[in-house]
This record gives sequence, C-alpha cells and structure tokens, in this order.
Amino acid sequence: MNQPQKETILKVQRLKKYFPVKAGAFSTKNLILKAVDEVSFDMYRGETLGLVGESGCGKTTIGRCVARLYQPDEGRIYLHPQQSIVETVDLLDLERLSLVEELEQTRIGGVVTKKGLADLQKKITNLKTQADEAAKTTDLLSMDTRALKEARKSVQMIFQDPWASLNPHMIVKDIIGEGPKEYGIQRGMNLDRWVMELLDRVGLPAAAANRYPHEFSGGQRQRICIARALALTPQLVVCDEPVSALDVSIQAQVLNLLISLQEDFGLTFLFIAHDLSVVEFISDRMMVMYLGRAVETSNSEQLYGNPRHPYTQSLLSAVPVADPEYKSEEILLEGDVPSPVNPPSGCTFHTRCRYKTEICTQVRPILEKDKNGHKIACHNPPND
Amino acid sequence: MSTQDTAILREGMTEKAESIWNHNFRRFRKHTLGKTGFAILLVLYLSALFADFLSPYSMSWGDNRKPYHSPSPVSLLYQGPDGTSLRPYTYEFRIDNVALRTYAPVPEHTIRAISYESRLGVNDMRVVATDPTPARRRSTIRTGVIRHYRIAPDSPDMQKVLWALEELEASPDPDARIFIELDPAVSTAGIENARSMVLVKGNKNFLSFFSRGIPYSFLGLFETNRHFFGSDTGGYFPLGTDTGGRDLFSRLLHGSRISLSVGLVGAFITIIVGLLVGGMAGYFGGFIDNILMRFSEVLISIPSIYLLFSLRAALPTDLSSTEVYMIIILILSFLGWPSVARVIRGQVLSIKNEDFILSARTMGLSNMKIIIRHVLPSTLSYAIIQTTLLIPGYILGESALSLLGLGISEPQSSWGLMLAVGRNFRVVNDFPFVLVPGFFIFLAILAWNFFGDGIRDALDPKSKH
Amino acid sequence: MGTLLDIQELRTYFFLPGYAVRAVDGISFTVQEGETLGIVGESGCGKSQTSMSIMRLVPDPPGKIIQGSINFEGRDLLKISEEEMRSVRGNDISMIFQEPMTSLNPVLTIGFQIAEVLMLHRGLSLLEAQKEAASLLSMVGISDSEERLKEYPFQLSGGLRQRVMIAIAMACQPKLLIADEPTTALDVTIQAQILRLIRKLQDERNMATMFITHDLAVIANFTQRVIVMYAGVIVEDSPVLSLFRKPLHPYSQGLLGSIPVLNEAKRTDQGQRRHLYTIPGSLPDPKRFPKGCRFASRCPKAMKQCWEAEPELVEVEDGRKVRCFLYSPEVRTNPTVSSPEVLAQFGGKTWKAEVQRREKAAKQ
Repeated sequence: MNQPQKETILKVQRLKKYFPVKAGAFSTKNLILKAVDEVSFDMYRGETLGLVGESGCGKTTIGRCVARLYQPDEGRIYLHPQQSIVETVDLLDLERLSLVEELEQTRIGGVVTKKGLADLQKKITNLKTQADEAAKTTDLLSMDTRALKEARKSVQMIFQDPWASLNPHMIVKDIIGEGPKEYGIQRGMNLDRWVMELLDRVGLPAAAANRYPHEFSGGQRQRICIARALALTPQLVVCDEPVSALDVSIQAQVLNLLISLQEDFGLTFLFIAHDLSVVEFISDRMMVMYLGRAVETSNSEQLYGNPRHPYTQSLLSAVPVADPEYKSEEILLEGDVPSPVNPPSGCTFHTRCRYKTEICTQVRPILEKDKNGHKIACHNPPND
Repeated sequence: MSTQDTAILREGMTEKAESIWNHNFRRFRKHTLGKTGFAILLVLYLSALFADFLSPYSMSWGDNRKPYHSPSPVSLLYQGPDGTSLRPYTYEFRIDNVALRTYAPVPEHTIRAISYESRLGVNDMRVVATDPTPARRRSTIRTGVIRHYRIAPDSPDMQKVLWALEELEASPDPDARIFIELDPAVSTAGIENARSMVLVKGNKNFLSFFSRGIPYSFLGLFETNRHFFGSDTGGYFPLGTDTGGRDLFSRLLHGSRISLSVGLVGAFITIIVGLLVGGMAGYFGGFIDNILMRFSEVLISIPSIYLLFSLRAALPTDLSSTEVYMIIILILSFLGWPSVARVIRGQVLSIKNEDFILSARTMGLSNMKIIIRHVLPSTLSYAIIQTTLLIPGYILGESALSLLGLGISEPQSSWGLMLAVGRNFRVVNDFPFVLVPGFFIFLAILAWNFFGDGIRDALDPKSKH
Repeated sequence: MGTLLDIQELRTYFFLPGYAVRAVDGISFTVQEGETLGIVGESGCGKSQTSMSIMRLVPDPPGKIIQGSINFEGRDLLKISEEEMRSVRGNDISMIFQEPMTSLNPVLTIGFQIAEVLMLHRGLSLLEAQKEAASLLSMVGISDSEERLKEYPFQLSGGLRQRVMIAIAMACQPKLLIADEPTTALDVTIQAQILRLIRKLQDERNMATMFITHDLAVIANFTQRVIVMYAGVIVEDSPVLSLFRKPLHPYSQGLLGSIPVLNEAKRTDQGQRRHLYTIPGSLPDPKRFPKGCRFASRCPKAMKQCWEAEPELVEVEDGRKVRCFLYSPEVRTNPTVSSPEVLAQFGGKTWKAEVQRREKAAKQ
C-alpha cells in the first residue's frame, strides 16, 4: 500500500465561520472576524493534508469545524460524500447563495417592496431546509444529534497543548477509555486490554495506565493524546499543531510515531501546523492559508520546489533553513498581517503583494488549477 | 511498528500513582499555620461532639443558690488524717454577702446529701445542712430526703439514711462520705429506677476523672452518668456559673455544638448551591448567566448584617429551638452562596475552553456529563477555599443573632447567647469570666482563618511542572 | 577583538526540599566583542538559567549561583554589589525575552517604558527621554513613532511588541545583548524581520549578541559560534559552519538529524515511508543524574567508560571543544560496549549515512 487511494473521505465546501467581536472595550459596535472565509477542499483516504499559514489565517478554525467543535455559519462538510447527494445539495445551495447575494444588494440600495423582501427570505429559508434534508446523511453540519454522535467516532482530534488537553483529575486508563466506554464498544476486561494495546502502540509502558497526567513529560502526554484519539479507531484524525510545543528530538519521535500509526491503522490526517519543514515532511499534499482563505494547494514536493502564489513564495523564503551555507532569496514582506476583522477588499493579500494589479484590489480570486497542477488563487501569478 | 519509535520511558515516573488530592495534601502538611488551625479546630469540634462527656454538668442544670459563682479554685494537695496526698479538691461555697454576691466556703461541720440519678430527666437532690448542731442537721437532711424520694419517715430506706448519718457524724475523718443504695422505685410503667445517694461530711469536693454526675446519652448509644472529670459531690465550676447557677464550662461545651455546627452545615449547603449556580451560569452563559449573576450581585451588595436580621425578623419569633437552628443555617447559606457562585462561574468560564473539554466533546459526551465529570471536579478546590473563608462569618452571624435574642434561646446554649449578659456593664465588671465564650468565638474564627489559608495555599496554584 | 565576557565554571543550583536541581553545572565559555554566539539545547538543558545567571536574575530561593565567575569588562559580575549590578543591567548588558506581551508592562505606554530606561541609566529628563524614545522607535522600524509613543502594548501586534522590546534593550547602547528565544512566539515572516533587525543593529554598533534558542535554523543563519548544552553542561562549542558540516558530539548529531529536511524524498527506494532520525529516550531525571556522562543512556556510541566517569570539555580541532570520550586519545584502544537496547533501536543508522542522505537530497 504505497500510494494513497483516491477515495474521497472528506469533502469541505464553501466553509465559512465568522466570529462577532467588540470593536473596543467600551464600544457597542459589533465587528465580524472572518476566521474562515469560504474554503473548499477534499481529502482522500490514507493521505496527510497539511494546512499551513501564520497566526490568524484560520487553519485552527477549519480543524475545529471539521471536528465539529464549532458550528460554521455556512458550508458543508461531507464525511464519505456520495456524488449524487453532493450534486443535489450543491444546486440548491448555489441557488440559495445567489439569492442571498441578491438580498444583500437590495439592502444596500435597491428598489424592492417589503413583500418582495419577505418572499425572497422565504425562498431562501426553503432552499436551506431542502438542502439540509438532502444532505443530512453525510453532512456533519446538518446531521441530527444521533447521527452526529455516530459520526464523531470517525473524526477525532489531537490538540496542541499537551498540558491542557488531559483532564488532570483522571487517570490515563480512564482518559483513553472514555470514548469506547461512552459508545459502549468495549467494557470491562476487553476495554482494559484495548487500552493496554493502545499504550503499547504509542510507546508508553503499561504502568502508565494508572498514573495521572501530571506525572508525565510533554512528549509522553502527547502520546497519551494520540492513544486517546485512536481509541475509537477513527478514519480521520485532525492534528492541531501536535508537535509545536515539543522539543526538537521529542518532536521527531512523535512525528515518526504518527507516520507508523498512519500506516498501521490506515488513518487520514489533517495536519495543521505553522512549522513549514515539519508540515512538508509529514504531508502528501499541502494547503496554504492566508486571512481565512486558501491561496495555494498542491502536493508537498511541488509546493516547495515551485511555489506559485506570491504569499507562498515569501512564506517559504522567510523560513530559515538549518544549513548555514544555504542562501535563500529573501522576499521580505512589508508590514504586518492585516486584521481579520477588517480584511482588505478583493484579494486579501494585495496590501503586501509586489505583483498586485488593479483587479486584485476589487475582485476576489478563485482557487483554480493552473498549468502545473497547483491550485492557486491569484489574478497575476508571477511567472516561473 | 519499528522499534526505533518505541521509546523506553521509565524515567520521571514516581513510585506510586499520586492523584491531585494526595499531592495537595502533601503541600498542606508543610503549611504550619494551616496545621495549627486544623489542630485547634480538631480539638474544638471533637469537644463539641463529646460535649456531654467532657462537661461536668449538663447544659441546663443550675443550682440557683449559686449565681455568678466565680471559677472554683482548686487545691492539689490534701492534708488529710493520713498525711498529705495528691487529691485535688475544691471547697463547697455558699453566698456570703447577698448584696455583693461574694462567696465563702461552708463550715467544716456541714453534712450534704446528694442524689445520683442514672436516668435522664430526673431531678436531683442536693441538701446542704450547715446547721451548727448535729440534731438540726439531722432534721434538715431528713426533711430533704423525704421530700425528694417521697418515702415514708419510718421506712427502712429512711432508717438506712439516718444510720449512715450517725456513722458519718461519728467518723474521725473530717471529709468522710458514705454511699447509700435505696430500694429501687418502680414507676407506673413498671420500669425500675435505681436510687442511690451519698452523704458527705465536710466542705470539700474532691475532683476525679470519670466522676459521677448528671446522666446523659453518650452519642445516642447508651445512657451513663459518668463524666470525663468533675466532682462526685458537685460544686466544682471550672469557669464559674451564670446568673442561674449553671456551670459556664458545661454550657460553653454544649453551646459549641450549635455555634460550630451552624458553620459547617451552612458551608455544606453553600458549596452545593454555589457549585450549581456558578456551574450553570458559567457553562450556559447568555441569559441564564445574566439572571443568576445579577441576582447574586444584589445579594452581595446588601450589607450582610442587616440582611441577616431582616430575614430573621421576617420569620415568626416563636419557633422551637430546632426550627430556629435550621432557619439560621438557611439564612446564613443564603447570604453566603453568591460569593462562591461567582468564583465557580469564573473557573467554569476558563475551564470551558480548555482542550480537554473540547476533547470530551469529540468523544460524543453530552453537556451534563461534561459538566459533572470534567468541569466541576476542577472547580472543587476553589469551592472549598471560598467556603472555608465563609465559615468564620457564619459563626459570627449566629452569635450576633443569638446575642440579640433572634437566634438560639433558653434553655439551649450557644456562645452568642451566653454573651448576651455582656450587655449589662455591671455584670461584666463584677464577673468578667462571663465573657469567656467571646474568647472561644475568637479562637474558632482564627483557627478557621488559618486553616483556610493553609487550604488555599495548598490547593490554589495550578501546578504545571 | 577583545574578550567581552568570560564565564568560568558557573554553577547554578535550585535547592528544593529534599533535593537539588543542578540547572547549570559547570560551564565555561567566552564571548568576544561584536561576536554572535548561539546557545542551543532543549528544554531542561539550562540555557535560560545561564542567561539569568549572567544577569543575576536567578530567583533566590530556591535558586543560587553557588560557584563560578562571570568576568565582564574586567569585573566579576558575581562579586559586585546589587546596586552596581543594576547599573549593568539595561545599560551594559540588555536582555530581550520570548513573550513580549508579558515582558512589557500592560498598564504603561510604550513610550514611558522606553523612557524609563533612559531616565534611569542616562539621567535624561522625561521630555528628553521621550524624544530619544521616538528616535529609537524609528530605528527599530516603527513608523509614526511620535504617535506610537502613546500606545499601550495590547494595541500592538506581536512583531511590533518585540520591536519595542528591542528598542528598550538598545536604548543605552549595550555592549552585549542577550536574546532569549526572541522569535519563538512569532510568525515566520515576522520572525525573519526581527532577526534581520537584530543583525542590522549588531552590525551598526559592533554589539555582541547571545542568541538562546532551540531552533537550529535560527542558529544556522544568524550566529557565528554555537554552544550546545545538554542537562546543564556544555557538550560542544564550535563555529557554526563546522557544527553543521560535521557535528562532533553524538547529541549534536542526533539533534541535527532529527530536523526534517526540506524537499527530501518521502519514500525510500523500497517504497517505505521515511522516518526521522531520533534520539531515543528522554532527558534523565534532573534530581538524580546518573553517574558518568549524562547522555550515555541515549547515546548510540556509548562505551563502558561513559557510564563510569564524566568526560571533560576538551579542545579537539582548532576552535572546537567537545565533551565526549570518543575524542580522547585513550579511547581508541578501548573496546566499544554500548547498551544493547540502544543499539537495537538504531538499527545501524549512523551519522555518516545521514550525511550522505542529506547530500543526495540537496543535489536534487
């Protein structure tokens, strides 16, 4: 089994997640933080998709939406999507979105009667209901409670901070076994055996089962988290910066562990991190995010060998390489990342882009394939 | 899986699994002040538990011929007919000057007749015959015994008593005593009542451990009349008596039951209410949070003493003691829960977004399970800290209520009630020992504060290695 | 270039009930004027405590500098009074920290915080200090410096706050700047800006810098000489180029091997997924260091004597020092006896093979 099979295990469409924030300490104005601003991607069984970007780009939010810890404002997340359902729902959703667009236009400045407005609203709501109904078997966001609970078994998560992700009042055995016990998959002796097997797989001694989390080091705690995530034998594991808080040598151990487990259990990883070399090492494909939008997607070798989007280029050039003789062309970006509360219009990167043109300030670029097989979102990509 | 990836991790693990509570307990042991507080509290609460055993008398027994008796002076060495020996004793006193209420020992030729009851609730007999001649003494005692035991003047029991009296008068030992068993009386229900008494010569009361005294029920298990220490013949008041001749020390111990337990029971209720309210407000947020927190803020902003009295005054004043006790506890808890709830709410807010809570959600747990299994245990230490700091206030609150007559009333005893006499300056001036309960209130509050400090320092900082 | 800082046999221990943690256990090194020195090591190696000891900011219970000398411009910093030390801090030696949010006072304006240092050490009045502060802000690349003086830390982004920290550190023209993980908390693009800024300031003022970090890439690009620390001692002291070309100590080798290399083939020729080179095990318990070399339990080349005695830091090649028995002359004659568990884990991987692999990858 060397090549990941091309079965689509996860399909994310038009994901949006906005957070309301206050403008200032005493202000009553509510601004909107667009953490994820219409992102779509697919994931194939057995692969590792790396999600990179700097702070505020929305990668953590995407991870949490996939693990269904947040309720997105818009979009679909299909687990084991079926083509026919996806198409049906797509039609309905796109129709609805164009109506919403119309609604926005009329609110800004248009002539329409009150009844017209109400009709439009009703149509929109109807379309939503229809779409939800069609999608609810596979869409994590419109599933009912019971189906969602079932689906949670398939999508598990590993968190960043090994100190905060384990309940300090529970022993390791209970922490790992909580999932299977909740679903009634295993009990009693069987559960104990399963927990011991997991501990062994992640490289912890059996004696660890009766200890409390605070007795372990950072790397060991992260192994406990991995064991917990595997306890329900999921298909997709969202890894939210799992090695960022660890030392370099421990990092290497944990990364190796993840790779072995992926092979043994047939897992699919959504790997979120900001350390580019780590992500490149572990991922088959990568997606670069900037201010809530995906700017480039490609497989890892090509992304590194030949970055196409201007942001990817400067990001890669800014990463220091652990080799004193390596000379990188330094593409320095000016200024700071703009605030996601008030993102620039059109292409959000245009304020720092050296290739920007007129259209970049007005129209948002679409993520689409270019001739090399990369997907980039740029009006004016630099030439090779 | 390749062996390269299996790390052998024996280092860094302690010998035994150590839970958070064990860990915190170890930290508490290093806190001297906290341990001191705990030791004092242990002594106080154990004394309260064994109050009837430890006190020489009962809560309400009083010898109204001895109001404001000062603390009995104890002499350790006894000069008897056989030489000096270690037999602690105190004198039997009687009022010498009625106006000034001073006491002096009874004369040496006094004969006393004291009854021993072994059942609760039976009045006791204490005849003190200080008459100068034996004949008059005989007459006093005879009258007293007949009246108390309702026996005929010529019954065999009476003969026994008179014979014993003669023996006593003739005895060379100035402090002799004779124990007499009378025939048991049979009550109408057919229950036998043992009757015993003692005739004492002289004016000394000898102290001993496990002395006989007023019967009581030991922890509700069995009845006995043995007390930890005291005098078989009574008349020993370690801290003196109050206006009704009741031993202050005994009342102090019995009163501690109420004053100290009000704090504990109130604290228990406060924790539960505070956890629930704070937990709900913190976890659900929004409207629920708003309502609950605004309400608790209103309660906090009203001065507590006034609120205490208003609430009590709003309720009927003629209630039985038990009912009053419950009401006091409820009112105090009602005043105390807002501060606990606020602390818990803050904790819940910060814990709610911790990764291990999110992980529990990915495991499919419902909200209630998450709150109970994951959120609340982490808040428990803060609840405990906050509550132990409230208890001194509860003790003071109960004392204040009882002091002003709105709390515990006669014949029960509580420290606050005992201090009520302190409002009369003359009494305090002449008999300062009536203020002893105040010292104990101070001691209890200090001890709780020390203990609470120790707990807070042991539980508070979240340790990250 | 003269020697600016000369540390000899520094020992900083933390005394806790029942045991002592030997955080810094006998280190000696020098810093020349204008030199950039990197101190690299993982958590628990003592690198931060080294910088704290230099600044004499070790929390006194439970920590204590029990031995050693820190010679700075002819004075032993461990022997001068606290008052004299205060005139050194912020003035001759400055420090910048990892978390700019917690190292800036949140209730004071940044203008005031910069001015404070100027008023204290250079005796300027508040007005003069504020003017100087504005010019410092522009020096670190913050535009509209006059306006910015009035802002509070929470109004600035991480990168800007770090620039403010640098401005405060630079205010009194220190001769030595200690940077303790200055960019770990920042985004990659901001990190690049900050590091370039530090380098620019260094060049302009001939200031010596001590970079303390666990990021080998930062070490590779911004330092001239590197000290590798492990469990409180220095295991290797070497110019940066030689360290990366040919690391001497097995720990340095392991560290460099564990970094994922960009652009390397993911699968071997047999189609197996490639794993990273790792150092097995973890740091020994600091309460009870084993007898002998502290790295022996994780070293693939451990010999019998490594478990019995601790090696000394000796000069091996020109300008390179290493603390390892592999490089002492007697060793060649002793048989190599490694702990069998450790050998089995390595399955034959050696540093030589690793170097070859990297060279092949770089060619592609």
